[in-house]
Amino acid sequence: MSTVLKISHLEVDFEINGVITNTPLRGINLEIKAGKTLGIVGETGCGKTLTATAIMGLLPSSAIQRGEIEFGNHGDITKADMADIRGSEITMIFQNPQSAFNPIFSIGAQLTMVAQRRGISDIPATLTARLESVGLRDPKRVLESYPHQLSGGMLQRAMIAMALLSSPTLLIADEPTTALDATIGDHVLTLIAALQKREGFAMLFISHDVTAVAKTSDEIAVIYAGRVVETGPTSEVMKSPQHPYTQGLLGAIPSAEKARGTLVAIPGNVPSVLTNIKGCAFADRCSLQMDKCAQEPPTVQIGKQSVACWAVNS
Amino acid sequence: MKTKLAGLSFLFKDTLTTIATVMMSIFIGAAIFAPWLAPFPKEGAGETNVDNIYIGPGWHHLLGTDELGRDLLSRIIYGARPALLIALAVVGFAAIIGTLLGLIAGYRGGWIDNIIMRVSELFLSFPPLLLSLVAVTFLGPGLVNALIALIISWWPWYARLIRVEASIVRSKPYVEISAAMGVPDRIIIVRHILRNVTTPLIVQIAADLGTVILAAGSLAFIGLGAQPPSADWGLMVAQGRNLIFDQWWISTFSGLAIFLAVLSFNIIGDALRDHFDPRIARQ
Amino acid sequence: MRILWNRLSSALLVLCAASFITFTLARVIPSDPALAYIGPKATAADSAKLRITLGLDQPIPVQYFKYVWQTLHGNWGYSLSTKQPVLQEIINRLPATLELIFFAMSFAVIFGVAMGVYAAKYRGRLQDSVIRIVAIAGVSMPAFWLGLLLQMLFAGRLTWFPATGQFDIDLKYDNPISKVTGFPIFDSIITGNFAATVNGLHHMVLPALTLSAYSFGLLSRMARANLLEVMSQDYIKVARAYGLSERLVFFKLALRNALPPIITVTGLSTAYLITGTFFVEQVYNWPGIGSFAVNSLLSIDYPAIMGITLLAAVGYLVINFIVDLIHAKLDPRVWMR
Repeated sequence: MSTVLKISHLEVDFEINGVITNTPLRGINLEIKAGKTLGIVGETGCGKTLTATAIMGLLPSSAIQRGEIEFGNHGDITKADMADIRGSEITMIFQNPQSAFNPIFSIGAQLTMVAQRRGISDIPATLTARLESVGLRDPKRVLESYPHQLSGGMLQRAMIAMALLSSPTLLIADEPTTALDATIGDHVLTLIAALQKREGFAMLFISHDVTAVAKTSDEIAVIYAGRVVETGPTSEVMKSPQHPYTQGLLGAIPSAEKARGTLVAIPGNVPSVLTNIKGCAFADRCSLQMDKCAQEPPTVQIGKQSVACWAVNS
Repeated sequence: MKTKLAGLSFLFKDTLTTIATVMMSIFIGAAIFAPWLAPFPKEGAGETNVDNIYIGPGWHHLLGTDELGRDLLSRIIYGARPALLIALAVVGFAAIIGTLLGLIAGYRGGWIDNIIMRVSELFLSFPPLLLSLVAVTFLGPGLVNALIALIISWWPWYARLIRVEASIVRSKPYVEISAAMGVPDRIIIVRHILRNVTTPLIVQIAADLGTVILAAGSLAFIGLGAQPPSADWGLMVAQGRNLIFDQWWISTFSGLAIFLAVLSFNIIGDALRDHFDPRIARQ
Repeated sequence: MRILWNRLSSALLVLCAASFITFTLARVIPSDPALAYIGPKATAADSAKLRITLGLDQPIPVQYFKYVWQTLHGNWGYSLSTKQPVLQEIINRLPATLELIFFAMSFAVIFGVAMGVYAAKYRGRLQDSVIRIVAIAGVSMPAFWLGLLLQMLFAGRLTWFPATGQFDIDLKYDNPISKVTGFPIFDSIITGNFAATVNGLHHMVLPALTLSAYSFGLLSRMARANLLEVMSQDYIKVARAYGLSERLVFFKLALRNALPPIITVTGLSTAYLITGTFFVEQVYNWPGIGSFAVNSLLSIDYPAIMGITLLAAVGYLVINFIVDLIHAKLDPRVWMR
């Protein structure tokens, strides 16, 4: 199975008014195989969206980036001109579909702009077919509508259609269902899964919702404070999480079995971007904290999972 | 909000704002301490000195003298008084009246809201300044009448601004809960609504101070504002008007005073607005 | 369509009320309007007789209705100073003012918005700072002072431009402009009288610049602020994520979004220009409504004042109405309340 995306030691800093922040991304290592889905899960502020922005090459000029991002047969795209890759081979769908579309242009106009950029011929037919493929039954009406006239679910489908116009190799989905109602969100997830099976794109699925990630991903990567603390096949990680943070995350999921027990919350807060982190970032919230944790833990391999923690036996 | 203002550091956030703050302080200082700051205080207040008419700028009279021999610098320093007075009075009264009416309209809603808003819209349907010009014409020229005319024009802006904010806050859940619990109207208004309304109010006031000085100066220039021998900048520009080609300093420096005063208020108004709402200032 | 009707009817309502306010100011506030007509030397008997002639003895509502009736029929009274019909005076003087406003606004809109957009594009750099200072200076400058300054510098010292007037006095004899539309400069272009066009434009420069200063600053500031706000919106980020060129993003997407509020402000500042002409025309001796207005105010020429106020209110309403229409056309959210 070929690797579509490989991120090695990705670090990102920002320089704001002469002050350098404390490395919001502190060494990300990820790998996505063709046609497969990698789910990134973590709390708000841990760097999930930042990773996606880095992949797309859309970091602001105040960003200082280190590390490599290898994509397909383009090699390291951190050095490349992303203009032809972004929006064609790598596309992205966003959290809030209502604000992702330009309010004064019709959906059709916006999709057409993207299609023209991609050099697609016979645009009206292509758009209609695409909209039908994402489950929008009245494509003509959708194309003529303005964003505020459509529901969140319909807009998100339209955005998925827009993302698939170029038949991308990699689709990045950044919290696609967070802003939608639970049932609608579920339908969207099912739709994405079906489309992936049919069209074979790889996907990077980002969410703070562990259940959504588990449902859609073949592999999971757990990110905490800018670092990947655990990766592995979804089934393995869900069954036997190795990292204390992952365990905490999964313990925090409400479920029927735990209905009578209490919800387990992880004490403490995610460290802010401005604090200096020495050693394991999770240490002060971890029940297994040891002296060793003052040093950055190495990533060890346990079966099919890899974990960054001192407390795990190799 | 109290803590935000306590840090008056925003007044010095960059070069331009600092200059503006300094200019505004000079302006206020001139208004308050005119008799002590002016090199020729009696002339500043209006006493003529016909031996000295039309002297150009020089060492003895830094900005020259006017058509009645009075030292121009002193006149300009004394001119800060009516300018500041009008600015504070007009904005003050307009804000108070407008806020009161706006609060009532926004909070009560219903027919009171309708009436107050219709009346405000009425006043606002005239081009700015026109109403003041007409009002002061019929009231008769003079500083006080100009003041009244300007207040008449200005209060609707505040009424509308406050009313919008008040009705937004009024429909917020925590206010509805308070009302349902029987908290008296007065307290709701003061505690909830006024607090939220203060910020846009302050920003509007800061911006208006400059605009009012401009408007008052315009009225005076035409002859409908302060009357001689008052040292009013607009009036002084008018008095030097026909002499603009030869004794240029009279109108030039008087007008410059208006310009700098208004400019500093506008710059500070901008800084104030950025301070309270840094959405755009942020990256 | 319903929105159009709403706006129209509320505009009419406002017009009625505006006329009532003017009427109140003119008739009710001064203690004895008749005095203005015949002067302070009149005897009590004379003024009493005049009151009856002018209908001032009637109850106020009756006076008001008479006023409205006359106005609608084109009888706007006679100017106390020029003794001519007010409506005629206004019609005679309107073209000069409208032309002045046209040139001033064109300059303000084209250069003001362009500068604002330019400043937004180079945000944070030197160009941005310079433009912001110029803009805020424009908004703070007293029009009458700027006018005098320009007059002194460019007409007095440098003699590049004429100091006063709409045309050279000799133009009437050398190259008289034949009347087509009534607007002198446009007529001169239409009739091929280019000597007159040049002369007219020459005289137009200083007054138009003076009048445009405030709007120029205002539009520049608004354009910059709006554009920056739009550029920080999600949909711009998304457009970039889909590989749309920066040029497309900036010019087509961002500008179209930033435009509606700018149009609104353009309308508002045109309205501001209406009173601005009062001062500019005074300084430059421009034969328009502005100078007529100032003279009327100073001589307390009631009929003229009321006529001008009515005209200004109507103009203001019309401008705002047009602005609302354009705004609605550009922003579909407005008519889909």
